[in-house]
Amino acid sequence: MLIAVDPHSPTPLYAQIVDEIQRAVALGRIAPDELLPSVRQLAVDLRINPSTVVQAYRELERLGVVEMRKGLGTYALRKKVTARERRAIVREVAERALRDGFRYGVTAAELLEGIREASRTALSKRA
Amino acid sequence: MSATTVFLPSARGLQWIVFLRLRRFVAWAAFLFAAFDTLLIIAASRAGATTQAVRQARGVVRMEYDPQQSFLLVGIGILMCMVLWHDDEPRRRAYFWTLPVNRFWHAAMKCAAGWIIVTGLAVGFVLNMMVMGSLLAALQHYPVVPHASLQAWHYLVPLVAGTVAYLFTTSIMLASDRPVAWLIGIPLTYLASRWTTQNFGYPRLYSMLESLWSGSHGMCALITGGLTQIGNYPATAPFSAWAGSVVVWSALALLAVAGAAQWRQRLT
Amino acid sequence: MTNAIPFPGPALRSDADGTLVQRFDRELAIESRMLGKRYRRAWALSDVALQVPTGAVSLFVGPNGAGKSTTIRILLDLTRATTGEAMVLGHSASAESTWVRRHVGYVPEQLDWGYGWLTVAQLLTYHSRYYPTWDDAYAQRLSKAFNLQLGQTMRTLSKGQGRRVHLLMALAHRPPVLILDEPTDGLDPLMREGVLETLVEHIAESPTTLLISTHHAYEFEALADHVSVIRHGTLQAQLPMETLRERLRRYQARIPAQWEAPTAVMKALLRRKSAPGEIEYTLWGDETELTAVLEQSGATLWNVSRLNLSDAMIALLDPDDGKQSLRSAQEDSRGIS
Repeated sequence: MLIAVDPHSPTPLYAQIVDEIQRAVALGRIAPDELLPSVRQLAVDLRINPSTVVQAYRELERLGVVEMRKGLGTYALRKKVTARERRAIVREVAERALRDGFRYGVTAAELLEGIREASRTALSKRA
Repeated sequence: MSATTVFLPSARGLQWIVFLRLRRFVAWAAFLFAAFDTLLIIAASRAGATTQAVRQARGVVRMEYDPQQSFLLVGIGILMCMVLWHDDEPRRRAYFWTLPVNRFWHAAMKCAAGWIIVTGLAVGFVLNMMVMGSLLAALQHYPVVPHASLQAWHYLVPLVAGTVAYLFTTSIMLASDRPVAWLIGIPLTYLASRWTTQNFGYPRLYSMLESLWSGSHGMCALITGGLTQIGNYPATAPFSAWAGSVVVWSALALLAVAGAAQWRQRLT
Repeated sequence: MTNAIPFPGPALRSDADGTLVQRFDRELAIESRMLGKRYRRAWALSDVALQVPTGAVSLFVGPNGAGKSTTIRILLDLTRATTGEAMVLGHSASAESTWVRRHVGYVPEQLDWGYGWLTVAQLLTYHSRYYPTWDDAYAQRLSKAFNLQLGQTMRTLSKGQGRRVHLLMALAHRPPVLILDEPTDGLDPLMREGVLETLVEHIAESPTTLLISTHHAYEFEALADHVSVIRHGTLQAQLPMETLRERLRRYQARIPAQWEAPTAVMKALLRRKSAPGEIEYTLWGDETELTAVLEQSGATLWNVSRLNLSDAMIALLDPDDGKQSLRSAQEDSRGIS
């Protein structure tokens, strides 16, 4: 399983791991009942403190994304992304864009227009 | 939780590392001895063909063992000690000081391990000179006639001279942050104060300083065993005088090392 | 001489969430109280209350000459404190220094640590004799992982190779506490990565408390969970990374003409940048409260962002007039209480 984290991002590392795994499970990149890497392995892979991985797994368990089975390891649970979660993601992205826009004095309406235009041209270019 | 537990280093480990450190030095010393021996043999085999007169003239440069040669051991003792402690300068908080053992005993045991090697060199030197004495006598068709006034205890002189020099240097290497300055400074200060007291009218002070070196229990008596040469005649001193100086100077040297090691228990 | 810091100063009080220098109520592996060190007339350290909770990975951050190495040397009894005392695992760093050194894995600042004339194998053999807990199998495993040339003389090793030997020497007796003084100084990025990997593997395997001194905090950002920041011999901050991330924010806002920062903001100010009509403040405090205060004052906040460790360190270390006000505010509150 490939997880990417950015140690220098202001977002806490455990939150980044939670996000990554949550997304991977939601999108099916991690199959239900799949064994997640051990704390040690993930810590070594990402060069991060093992306690951060433990913290992330605990949080994931609390969120119902994974299950820690005593002596066996951490397993992904069957889970589909809910519409609410999806809306939350969209909102997060939108807020980020708004903040940036504000910096350049761009209003929300202009931003919306810009997004429409950009998605038209960018997507047509890529295709 | 007891603070009294004394953690000691492994004596074998220390001896091994000290030997590794000094092996090159020992090899150089052995090489120098050998070179000296070769020169003597060449000189002697040539001299063998010459006249009796030449042989007698060469007698001035005695070829057998002479306690005065222990000045060489003094030099070896000082140099060896400097080599031994060079990497472990307390000033740099070097490796030695970070090791988890009682620092007093660590320094004392390292000093002892080095002493074994100094003494080994001194013994080697004396044996070499004894063998050379007989060898040269044979080459020159002389009977083995040792120095007229040489006694058995004279063979111990280089051992003690090397030891005392080694111990004093150890105490300086341990105690000082600038050992080289002290090693040069102490003899210079001594000479300067001797000169000053002599020339500016402090006769009592001068004679005290003078006796430190050439008194009956002075440093010189310790190093040469009291054996000197006045013209062609050897001047000797009794065993008791030498033994006295050995007691005084060894005690001082041991105290100096112990004091320095104790002082470096805590690096300030 | 003139920069002699008056000492002893008042003890930093309070364990409240709000202070920059915190006292942890967890079990501590390393603890110092009122630690001060004077060289001739200048105080190199004063009133340092360093705390590293057991099991933590703590960064000891500060510019060169801030007092990091002096503190670490006191912990290993390589120098004695002028005032105060330091404890490691509950043992006095001075009175029980041998015990402490036995239970601490230490990588010093000096790159020539150990004996240059020994081969790697010889140095390791010698070193292992000093540690009853030396794990030879682990040492061999590490030396394979590090790709050490055991027959090579220490002096001829590259910086990175030498550092790896030092790291092995510190790790292989599996000490409960590791103290690393600038372990990545002078290493290229690849070697740094290697050091990091080794440390992660080590702490994943055996429970260890780590104190890493560095002036490049970002190198260990992924590893650290605590941070102690030192400048001019005094602790500027000591926090769990979590708290640092939570309470340190950058606020960007548009301001009307003649806007004046409210006192609550000035007290929380660490660093500021301003342009006509705009401010960018780095503030220490509760985000909701500070946002409310700023908005009430008439500023239009358009962005509140977290700081990464590098920026956080700059905010805590860079002398800025804003910072003075925070410190004096703390002193004021001390005076009142």
